[in-house]
Amino acid sequence: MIQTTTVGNYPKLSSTKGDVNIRKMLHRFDKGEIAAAELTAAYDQVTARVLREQREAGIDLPTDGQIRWDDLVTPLAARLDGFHSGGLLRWFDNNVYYRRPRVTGTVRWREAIMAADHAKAAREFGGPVKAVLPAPFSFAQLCEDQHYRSMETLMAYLVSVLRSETEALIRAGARHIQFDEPCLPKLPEYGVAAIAALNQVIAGQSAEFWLCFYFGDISGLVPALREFRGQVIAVDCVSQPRNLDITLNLDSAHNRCFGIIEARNIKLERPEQVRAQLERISGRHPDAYVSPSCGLEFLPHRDALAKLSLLGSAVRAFRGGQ
Amino acid sequence: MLETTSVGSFPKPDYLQKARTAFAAGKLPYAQLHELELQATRETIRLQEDLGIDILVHGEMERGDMTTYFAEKLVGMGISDLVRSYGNRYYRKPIVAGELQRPQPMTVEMFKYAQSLTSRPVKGMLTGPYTMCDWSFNTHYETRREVVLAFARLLHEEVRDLEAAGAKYIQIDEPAISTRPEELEIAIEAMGIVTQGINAMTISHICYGDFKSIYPRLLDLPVDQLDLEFANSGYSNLDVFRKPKFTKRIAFGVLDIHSHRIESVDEIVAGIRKGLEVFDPELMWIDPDCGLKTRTTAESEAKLRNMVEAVEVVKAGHGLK
Repeated sequence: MIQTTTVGNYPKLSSTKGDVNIRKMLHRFDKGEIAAAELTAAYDQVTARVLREQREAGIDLPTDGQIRWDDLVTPLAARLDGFHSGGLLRWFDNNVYYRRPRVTGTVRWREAIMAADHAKAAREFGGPVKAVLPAPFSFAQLCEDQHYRSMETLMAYLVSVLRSETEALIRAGARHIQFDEPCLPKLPEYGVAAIAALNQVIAGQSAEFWLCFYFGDISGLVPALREFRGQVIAVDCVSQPRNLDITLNLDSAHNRCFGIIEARNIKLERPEQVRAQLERISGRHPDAYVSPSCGLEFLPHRDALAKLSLLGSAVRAFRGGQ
Repeated sequence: MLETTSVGSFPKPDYLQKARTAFAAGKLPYAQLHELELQATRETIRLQEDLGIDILVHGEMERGDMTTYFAEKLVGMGISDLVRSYGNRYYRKPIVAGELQRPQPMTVEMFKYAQSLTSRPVKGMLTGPYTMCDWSFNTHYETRREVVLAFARLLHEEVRDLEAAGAKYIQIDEPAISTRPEELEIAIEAMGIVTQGINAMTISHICYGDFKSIYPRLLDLPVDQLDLEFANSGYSNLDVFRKPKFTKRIAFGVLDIHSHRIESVDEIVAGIRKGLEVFDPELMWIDPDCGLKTRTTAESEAKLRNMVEAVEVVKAGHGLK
C-alpha cells in the first residue's frame, strides 16, 4: 500500500491566529524577557502542532518539522566539538541562507543531540516519527574545513559522530532514520565514496535507514545507489522530473520514496495529475512512499498545509479506489 | 578612485518601525507614515554626508523587503504569508499571479526627494529582473525565462524614468544571480533589456552566492560596475577574481553587515589592501557587503565611520590622494 511521508522541515510560523509564535518567542528570549524553559515549552508546542497537522492531513510517517533547526547542519555543528559558526551562504538554489559551519579543530561527538526531542515527538504523535540527519558527504560539503583541509579526513570524522548520533537516536526509540544528501547529485563523481561513508554510519545498526536526495538530478548516481545498505531511497521528482523515471526503474531491492508534490512553489497540483503519478508508482512499487519534493519550509504555512492535505487526500482516494 | 558608498538599505529608526507596524494594523494613515519615511530619509542622507561618504543611497525607508516593495507596486503580483529567509528572519514572498504591468514609476519620487537633500550623487535603487523572479512564487507564466523577461521590460521603463529624473548612478541588484549558474544567460539577457540605451552608470549588487560558479561569465552582465561582498567570507572569495582579469568597475564590500562587531580601521585597511592586489584602484569603490538594515543605527554609523577612515589611510599610504 502506498504510504505518505514528509521530508524534513516545516513552516515554523502558523497562519492560524492564537498559535504559538516562535519568532516572537525567540525575539523575547534574545532580549532576556523569557527563560530557556519557556522557549523550550514553545518549541514543544509548535512541534506538537506540526505533528498534529501532519496526522490530520493523512501523513503516515511524519518528521518533527525540525522546528528547533535553522538548517540541516548548523544545529548539529553547534553541539559537536571542533566547529565554529561561519559566514552566511545561500542554501542551494533557494532564497534561504545558512551559517556555514567552520571546522576549526578535531571533530568529536560529546552528547546525544536529537534523541530526547525525537522521543518526545514520537510520544506526541503516538507512533513512529522519522528522524533526519545530514549524510556525511553533504555534511562535509556544507562546512568550511579550516582544520583537516581534506574532504576524506573530515568525512571520516563525520562518519564517527553521525554513527554515535544514530546509535543515540536508536536507543531513544527511532525506527526510521533519514540521511539527507542534497550535495551529491551535483557531484556524482563522489557517489561511491559518499555512499560507502553512509554505509559505515549505519553498519550493524537496526532501523529503517533512508537516503534522501532533493534539488538535483540523480542520473549520475545510479550505479552507486545500488551499494546503499539501507532500506529506502527518497528522491525529489519535481526539481528534476526525470528523477521519477530513474527512481521507478532503479535496479535495486530498495523501497523508494517519490517526492511528487512541489514544495517550493505555492501553485497547487491538480488532483488528477497526482493520481496519475500514484498509478504509475504503485504499478511498479506498490509499497512505495510518496512525499513533498523537499522540506515544506520554503512555503508559507497555509500553502504548506494545502500541499500536505492534497497529498494526504489524493493517497486516501487512491487507496480507496484500489 | 576608492570612492565610498553604501549598498542600499539603512536601519529604520524606532519611530518608523512603530509607524510601519501601526500602518499595517490600519491604525495610522499613509500620509503620516510617509512623513516619517521622509524624515528618516533626511536623517540617512545627513548621516552619510556627515560621515563623508561620496556616493549616497536614500536608505530605502519606504521599503520593507527588496522584492516585496516592487510586488506591491506592480499589477499582476500578490504577496504571500511569511516565509523564513535565515535564522529568525522572515519575509513575505511575492507571487507572480498574472500578466506583469507597471502602472506608474515605483522609485522615482523618493529618488528625487533624496537627491534634493544633497549636492552629492544619490543612487537610483532597483531589484533586478532575475532576482525578482527567483524570489517570487510563480503561478502564472509557463517558464522562468518568461517571468524574468517580463520583469526586465518593466524595470527598463523604471531605469529610463530614473535617468530622466537625474540619476547618474542606477543600481539594479541581482543577489540571486549565482543561484542557478545554468540560468546566468537568462539573467544577462534580461539585464541587457533593463540597461539598453541608458547613459547613467549602472551597477549590480550581488551577495552571498557562489561567485566561482559564474565567473568569468559574470563579466558579461551588461552593467558598468559589480558591487560584491568580501568581508563576510574573510576575503576568501577574492581569489575567484584574480584570473581572468576583472574588467569592470568594482564596489568592494569590507563590512560584514550580518555581524554586530564593529570592524576596526586596521582590519578594513587590510581588507582594502587585499582588494587592491586584484582590482584596479581607479575602478574601485569601497562599501559594506550588503544593505545595513539588519544593523542598528549606532552600529551602521560606527562601521561606516571606520570604513571612511580606512579609505583615507589606504589612499594616503598608496599616495592616491
